[in-house]
Amino acid sequence: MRITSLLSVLVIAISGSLVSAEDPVDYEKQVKPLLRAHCFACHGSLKSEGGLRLDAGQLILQGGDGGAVVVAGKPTESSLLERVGSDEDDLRMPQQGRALNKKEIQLLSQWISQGADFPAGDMPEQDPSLHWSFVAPQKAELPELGDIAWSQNPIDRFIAARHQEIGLSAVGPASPAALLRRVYLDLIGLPPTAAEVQAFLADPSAQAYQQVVEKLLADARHGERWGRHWMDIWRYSDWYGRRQVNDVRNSFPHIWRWRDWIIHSLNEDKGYDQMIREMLAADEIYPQDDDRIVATGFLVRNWFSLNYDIWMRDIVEHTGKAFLGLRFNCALCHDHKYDPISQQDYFRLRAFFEPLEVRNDRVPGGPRLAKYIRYNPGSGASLKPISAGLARIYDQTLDAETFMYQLGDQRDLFPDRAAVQPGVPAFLGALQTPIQEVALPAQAYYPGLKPFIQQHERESRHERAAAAGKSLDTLAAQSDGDSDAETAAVKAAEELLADRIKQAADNQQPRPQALKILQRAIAYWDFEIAVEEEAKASSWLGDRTGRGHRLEVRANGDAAVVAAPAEDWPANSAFHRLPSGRVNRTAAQFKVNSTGSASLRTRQKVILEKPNWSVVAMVRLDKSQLGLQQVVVAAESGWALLASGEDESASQLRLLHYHDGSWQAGAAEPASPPLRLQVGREYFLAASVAENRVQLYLRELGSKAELQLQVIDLVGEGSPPLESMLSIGDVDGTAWWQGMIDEVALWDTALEVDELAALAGTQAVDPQVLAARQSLMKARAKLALQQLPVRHAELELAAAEAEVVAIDARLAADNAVYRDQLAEGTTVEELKKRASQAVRDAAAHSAAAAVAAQQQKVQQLKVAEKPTPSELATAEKELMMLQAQSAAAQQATSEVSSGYDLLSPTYPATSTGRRRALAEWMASRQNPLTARVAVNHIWMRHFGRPLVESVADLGRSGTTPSHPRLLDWLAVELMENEWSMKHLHRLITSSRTYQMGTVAGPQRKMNMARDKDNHNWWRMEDRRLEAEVIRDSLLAVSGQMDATIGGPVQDPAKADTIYRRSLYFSIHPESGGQIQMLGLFDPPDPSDCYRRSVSVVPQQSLALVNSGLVLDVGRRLTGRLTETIAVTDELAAERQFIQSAFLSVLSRQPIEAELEICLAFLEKQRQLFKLTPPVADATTEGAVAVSSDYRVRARESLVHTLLNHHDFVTIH
Amino acid sequence: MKKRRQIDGHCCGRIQRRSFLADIGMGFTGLALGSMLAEDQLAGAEAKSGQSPDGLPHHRPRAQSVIWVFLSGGYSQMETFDPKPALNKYAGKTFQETPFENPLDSPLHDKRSRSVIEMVRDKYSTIFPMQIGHRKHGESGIEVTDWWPHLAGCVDEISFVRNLWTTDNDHAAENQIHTGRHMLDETQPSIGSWISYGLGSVNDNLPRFSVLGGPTRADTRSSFESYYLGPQFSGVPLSLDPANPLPYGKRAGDVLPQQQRNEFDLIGKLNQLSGVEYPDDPAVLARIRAYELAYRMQTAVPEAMELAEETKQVEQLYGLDDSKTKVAGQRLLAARRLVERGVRFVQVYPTDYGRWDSHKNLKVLHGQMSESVDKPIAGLIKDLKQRGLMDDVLVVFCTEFGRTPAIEERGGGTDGRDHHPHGFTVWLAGAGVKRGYVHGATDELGFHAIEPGHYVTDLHATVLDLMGLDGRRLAVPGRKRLEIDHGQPIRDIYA
Repeated sequence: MRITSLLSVLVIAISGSLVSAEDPVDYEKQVKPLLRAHCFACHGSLKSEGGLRLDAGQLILQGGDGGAVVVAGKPTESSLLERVGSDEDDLRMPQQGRALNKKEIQLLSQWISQGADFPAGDMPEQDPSLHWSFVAPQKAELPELGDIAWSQNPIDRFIAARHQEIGLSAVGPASPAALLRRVYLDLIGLPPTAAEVQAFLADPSAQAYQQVVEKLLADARHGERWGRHWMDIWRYSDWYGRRQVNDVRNSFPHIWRWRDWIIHSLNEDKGYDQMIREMLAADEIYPQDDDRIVATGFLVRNWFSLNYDIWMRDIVEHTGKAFLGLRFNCALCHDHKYDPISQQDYFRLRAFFEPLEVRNDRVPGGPRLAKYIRYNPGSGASLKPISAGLARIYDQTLDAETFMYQLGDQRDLFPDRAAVQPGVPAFLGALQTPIQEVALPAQAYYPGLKPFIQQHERESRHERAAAAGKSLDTLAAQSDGDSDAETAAVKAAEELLADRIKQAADNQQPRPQALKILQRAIAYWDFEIAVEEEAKASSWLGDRTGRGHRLEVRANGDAAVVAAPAEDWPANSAFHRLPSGRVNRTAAQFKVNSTGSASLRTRQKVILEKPNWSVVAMVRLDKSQLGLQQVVVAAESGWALLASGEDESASQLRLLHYHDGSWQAGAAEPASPPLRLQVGREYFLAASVAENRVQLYLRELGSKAELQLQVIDLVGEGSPPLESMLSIGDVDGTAWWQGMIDEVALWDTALEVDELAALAGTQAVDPQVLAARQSLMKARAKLALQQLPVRHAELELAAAEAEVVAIDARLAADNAVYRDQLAEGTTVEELKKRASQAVRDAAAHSAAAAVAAQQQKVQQLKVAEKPTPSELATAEKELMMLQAQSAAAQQATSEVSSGYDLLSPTYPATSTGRRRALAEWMASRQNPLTARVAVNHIWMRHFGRPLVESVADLGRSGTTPSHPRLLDWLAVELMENEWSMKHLHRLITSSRTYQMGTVAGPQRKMNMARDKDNHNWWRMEDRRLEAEVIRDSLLAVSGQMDATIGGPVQDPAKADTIYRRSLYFSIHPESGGQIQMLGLFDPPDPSDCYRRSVSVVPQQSLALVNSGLVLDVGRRLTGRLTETIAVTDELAAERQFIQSAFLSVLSRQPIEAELEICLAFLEKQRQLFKLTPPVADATTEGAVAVSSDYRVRARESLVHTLLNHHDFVTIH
Repeated sequence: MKKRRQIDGHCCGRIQRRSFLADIGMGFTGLALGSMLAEDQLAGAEAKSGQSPDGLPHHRPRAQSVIWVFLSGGYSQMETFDPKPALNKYAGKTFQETPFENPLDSPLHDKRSRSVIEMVRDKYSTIFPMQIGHRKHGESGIEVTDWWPHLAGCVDEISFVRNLWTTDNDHAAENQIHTGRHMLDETQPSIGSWISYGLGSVNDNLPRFSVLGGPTRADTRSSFESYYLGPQFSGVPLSLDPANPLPYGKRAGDVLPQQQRNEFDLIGKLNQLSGVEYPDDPAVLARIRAYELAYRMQTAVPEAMELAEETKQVEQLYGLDDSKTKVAGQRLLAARRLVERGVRFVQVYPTDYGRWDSHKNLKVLHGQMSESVDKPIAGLIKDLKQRGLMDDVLVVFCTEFGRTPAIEERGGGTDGRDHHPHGFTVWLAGAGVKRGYVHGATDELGFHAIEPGHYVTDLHATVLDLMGLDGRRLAVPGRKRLEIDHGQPIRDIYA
C-alpha cells in the first residue's frame, strides 16, 4: 500500500537523522508552538475535526474518532506523522496552509519516539468565547497601589500601579511650553500662537492648563483634527477609478459631506455609539434627516461600480475592523483560523448589506439629479462626476439573498446551499432588536417632496414667469413703431425685384451658342426654396416658366413637387422663364431625409429616344461625410459619379458603372490630380452619354479651370438603358447628397465639350435679379426679426405661466398622493389628471416658444453680414425638428392621462431594517468590542502607541493589551458617559501620565533596565507630526490659514496657494490623489489606514527646504515679526527677533546657546546678502518675494531654517 | 572588471558595500536612522520586532541590483520569445480542428481568466498564424522572432521562462505581476518595495527604489507602491530631466547656494542642541542624517540623470541617436547609471501604458513596438557586460500577460490577439542566472503554460532569492501573506 511504503521511507529518513539529533525535545517550547501554528485551527478549541484535538498533550494521546494518532515511543505507528508527511493532497495535513517541512516532521517524530512527554500542568486552549475581548468589559476597582499622591486621575492610578509592580519611576512633568504645544497639537492639530504661549507661561495657576484643555475641546478646529483621525480608520476617500478620463468607479463624488458630518459630530460631541448608528443605518433610523444620512458615506465609500461583490467585501472587512476590531475578512474563504467566526458568519454579516445601492440626492442650490443606474458590463459607459449632490445608500433590493461562495471566487457558489440570513456570530451575543422592515416616510423614498425642492421648483417658475413678463414689456415698448422702416424696406425691395426681373427678361443675352444649346433642352428646372413662416414643413419652388410649385413634405419624409395655382404663390415668386423647349416638370421628385439633406430624382423613368443624351446641373456640396459615398449624378443601372468623402472639406469624385449587379470603377482611373468637390463652392457638372461612352465635365463657377473627367467606355459592359431614373444627389435613397442643387437640365443629345463649356459659361441667373432677390429676402428677414422677438417673448411668457400652473398642479397632486393633503371637493385622481393636463399644456407652450426662439435664430443668420451656409442649414434643421416636436406636444394636450413628471427619482417605500438591527447591536453596551476598539484608537493618537498593538484585530490572533484593566475601565467609562469622546480626551489630557516629559532623566538607567521600550509609560514619547499637521502648522505659523470649516474638496495641486487645512483637499489612491508634500510624510493610505507609519527620510528634508510653501510661510512670518520689533539697538533687535521667531515657530524661547548660534548665522547671512542682491525667482508664480533689505533677508533665512527644525515637526 | 564608480568617498564595489551595510546596521526608521543609531551604540537596544529588517541579506546574494523592465499592454509570447510553428500549420482552423487538446476545455481556463468587471469574456478559437518569422540564434540556438534582431544577438546571455501565467484577464494584470495579487484580492506591496524594504540602498544619496518612465497611468501606481511597508519603501518616479529629476529636488531660484549651505549648517547645529535637550528622541539623529543626505541628494540625483556624460558609443549602443529607440534607450541607460551608483531596484517602463495591447493590427503594432525596444534592451545587456556588471545586476524583462493564439474576432476583428493570462514568456539575464537557457514551455499552440507553470510570484521569489532575501522572513506581523504570495524560486534557471 502506498501510504505504508511512504511511511517507511519517512521513518528511514527520520531514524537516519535521529542518530545525530538525540537532544530531548521540549514539548512546551518546540512541539506545542508548532501544533498551534499549523493544527489548532482545526484540531483545537475552535473546532475538533474528526473528534481530534491537538491543543493539549492529554488530548493528543487521546486521539480522535479514528483512534489514536500518536503512539508514544512509536513514530511508525503514529498516524499523525503519516498524515503530515503524505504527498497526496487529499491526505496531507494541514489541509489548508503550507505543509510541514522535514525539520518540523522530524521534530514531531523525535518527540513521539522520546515518549511524547508533556508537563503535568499542560492545559488545552481556552474556550475561544472566553477570549479577553469577547467578554464584556468590567470597570475594575481603581488600584490603590503605586504613588497615590502622584495623581487621582483614574488613568494615572492604573499606570502608577504598574510602575510599582515593575519598579519603575515616572519621569517629571514636561515643561509648560512643551506641554502646551503638545496639547494644542493633540487636540486641534495646530501649535499655539506666540501670544497663547506667552499667556500660558505667564499664568502659573493650576487651573491654567485645565482651562486650555476646555478651550481646545470647545474649539471648532478640534473636530477637524480628530475628524482626520477617524477618516483614517473609516477609510475616507474621494472618488477615484480613472481620474484621467473622469470615470467614477470607487467611492463617490461629494462624499466630503460625510467628512463634514464627522467634523460636526465630533465638535458637538455626538456619542460614538450614535455615530456608528448613523454611519450604518441613518437612512433607516432617521429617514428624513439628511444631516444624518450623509453619515452613510461610510458605506458609500466602499462602493465599486464594476463589481458589487467587492463593495460587499470591503464593507464586511472594514465594518469588522473599524468597529469590532475583528478580521471578518479572513473568513471569506474558510472558517476563521483563530476566532470563532465561521465562513457562514462572514456571509451572514454581508447579508445585512446585500440590499444596498447608492444614490445621489439633490441638495439645496444643486441641480436635479437622475437615478444612479448600475454599470452595465461591456457597455464601456463611464460615470461622470456631477456638480453637486448628497451621496448616500438605500436598500434597493428588499429581497436580496446572500449566497456563500468558495475560496473567495464569487463565481463558485456552494452548490445546493440555501441563502444565508443576516446575523452576527454567536459568541458576540444576539441582535438586540429584531430585523424589522422600516416603512419609510414619503419624503425618504420620494426626495422630490422635500420642502426645499418644492419651494425651489415653485419659486423658480414664478421667477421665470415674472422675468418673462418683464422682458415682454421691455420688448413691446422697444418695438413700437420700429417696424415701419422694415416694412417700407420690404416694399422697396419687392419693387426693385419686380423691376430687375422685367429688365432681365428684356435684356437676357446669353452667348448665342449657349442659347442655342439651351433651347434644345428637353427639361429644365431652376430651384429655390423659400421657407415660409407659417408653412411649417412645406416650401415653395419656382421654375423658369414662371410657374410656382409647392414642395410638400410627407410624413415619411418623401416630398413631391406639385404645381400650384398662381393665387397661392408667395409674393416673392420671381421665377425665371424657361427659354424654350419641352418641359417635363412632373417627372421631378424631391426627397428630404431626416437630416434635411436633399436630392433630386426623376419620379418617372425618363424615356430617352436615342442612346445619346446629356444632363447638366449646378451643384454645391455643403457637407462632406467621411467615408460616405454620395452620388452626384447617376442614371440608374447605368453609370454614376460618386463623391466619396475623404475628409470633412472635400469629396473625391469617381466615375462608376453598373455591371454584374454592383457598382464598379471605370476601366480608366480618374485623371490626376484626383478631382474634388470642395465644400461650399459651386460647380457646373455635366454628363454626356454618347452610344456606349460616358464623359464627365466639371467646372468650378467663378474659376476658369475646366476639367473633362474621365471617360467610361461601356462597350462590352452592356449599354446604358434608354429608360432610366435620373438622380442627382442619391442613387437609391440611401446615400444622401448634402448640398444645393440648382438648374438641372436634360438634353436628348450628347453634348460636345465645347458646348458644355459654353453652357457652363452662361450666367445661370441674372446677377441683378439674384442680388435683388437676396435683398428682398434679407429685408423680409429683418422685418420678421422685428416681430419675432415680441412673439417669442409672448410665447415664453405663456409657457412660463403654464409652468406655474403646472407646478402648482403637480405639487397639489404630489401632496395629495404622498402626504394625504387633499382639499375638500376633489379627489386624488382628479388632482393627478389636472397635473397631467397642466404639464402637457405647459410642454406644448414651451415647445411653441422653442420654435419661436429657433425661428429668431434662423432669421438672424439670414440677415447676418456674412452668413455661413452650414450654420444656417443646421439651424433650419433644428427648426424643423422643433416644429415637429411642437406639433407632437400640441397633439398630446388633447390626450387624457393622469401621469405627470415627478420632481425626483423614487425609491422603495420600505427598507429592510437589516442595518438598523446591526447598528443597534454594534453600538450597544452589550457589545464587548466596540468601546474597547474606540478607546484603543483614541489612546494611540494621544500617546503614539495603542494599548493593544494590533488596533484592527482584538481577536485571538491579535496582541494582548499592555494594560487590560485600564483599557476596560476606559471602555466602560466611555459607555457610561454617553460614549462622549470629549470626555475621554479630557480625562486623558488631564492625567499626569499624559503630562509627563519625554526625557528619561535620572531614572533612565533603572527604568531602561526594566522596561526599555517604555511599554508601561514611565515617560511620554516623542512623536513626529502627521503629514497634515505639518502643513497645517506651516499655514498657522504664517498667519494666513483660511479657517473655513467644511465644504467641497480642494484641488491638491493648488495646496501651495490655497491656505485651507489639509483635510479639505481631495485624497484618493490614484496619482495626484494627495497633496504632493504630504505624500512624503507618511500620509494615510485612503484604502487602509488603521495606524500610520512614521519615517524619517531625506525626501522630507528636501520638501521642507525647497518647497515654495515653506519659503513663502517663512517670508510672511518674517515680515510680520519684523514689524513688531520695537528696539533700535541692532543687536537687541536681532535678539528680539530670534526670540519671537522661536516663540512663533517652535512655541518656546530659545536657550542661550541657540541664541548665540542664530546671531552668528544672521551675521553670516547678512554679509552674504549684502554682496548679492536678490534675484526674483521666475519659476514660482505668486510666491512671496525675497526682501530687498539684506537684514530682513537674513531673518527670512533664519525663519526658513527654524521651519526645518526637528522640534517643528515633533511633539515632545 | 571595471568597478562601479566611487560615490562620496564610499567605494561601492561588492565587498566594500557589504561591509558598509554590516557596519551601520539598520533600525526601524530605515537606513538613515539605522546608521545613526549604530554610531550611537543604540542600534541593538532600539531595534523593535515587526519593524523593518536590518538591511542585511538572509543568505549569500547572487545579485546586488535589479533592473525590472516592464512592457505595458501584454506582448504576444508567440511573436516574441516563444515561436509556435503549429500556428502557421493550422492557421485559420479552430482549436478543435487540430490534433491537439482544445485548450479552452481545460479546467485551468476559467480559473486563470478572472475579470474585475462582472462579465464573461468572449472565447476565440480560430488560429491566427504567427505574424513574423523566427529563427535560431547563438550557440544556444534559442529561437526568437525576427522582430528582435539586436536582442537575438544576446540570447546566449539570457534565461527565458516560457511558462508564466497570471489570473487577471484585464490590464489590472499590470499591477498583479508587480504585487502578486489579482485586483479583486487584498492589495500587497510591490516586488520592488520588498527589495527596498529588505535591503535598502547602498547609496543613500539616491532613492533606493527608483522608477523610470512611470507610472504609465494614474491607476497603475500600485505597481510600485509599498502599502503597509510604509511610503519610504515605495518606488520614487524620477524624471529624465536632470534639471528637475525628483520632487523638491531643486533649490528655489531665489535661494543662493551659499545661503542654503549656511541654512543646512544651522539646521544641523540646532538639531544637535535638540538632541541634547531630548536625548531619548531617536528621530533627532535620524533627522540630522536625513538633512545631510538631502543636501547631497540635491546634486547626486541630477548627476545620475545626466545622460549627456555618456560617450557617443554608449549613446549609439542604446539607440539614442534614433527617434524610434530614443525613449526606451534613455530610460534603460538611466537605469544602468542608477544601478551603477548602488540603487537596488530600478523599475523601467521603456514603452507607455498599454502600447503592446494589440487587439487589432498586431503585425504593425508589435513590429513598431519591438523596434522601439529591441536595440535599447540589447544595448543594456551589452553595456552591463562590457562594464562587468552582469555579475552584479539582474535584468528582468516582463509584461502583464501574453496574447491569444487565436484571432480576436470581437467586432469583426481579423488581425489581432486578445489578452491571454494562461501562458506567456518573460526573461532574466545577468547576476545569478544561466546564460543561453530556456526554462518551461507552453503547449503546441502557445496557449497554456505547461504544468508546472509559474504564477507571477514565482518570479518575485526568484528575484528575492537571488538578492539574498527570504520573503517569508520579511513578512510583517499582522499582515497575512498567503502561500501564493511567496511563490517558489525558479531554481532551474540559476547559474
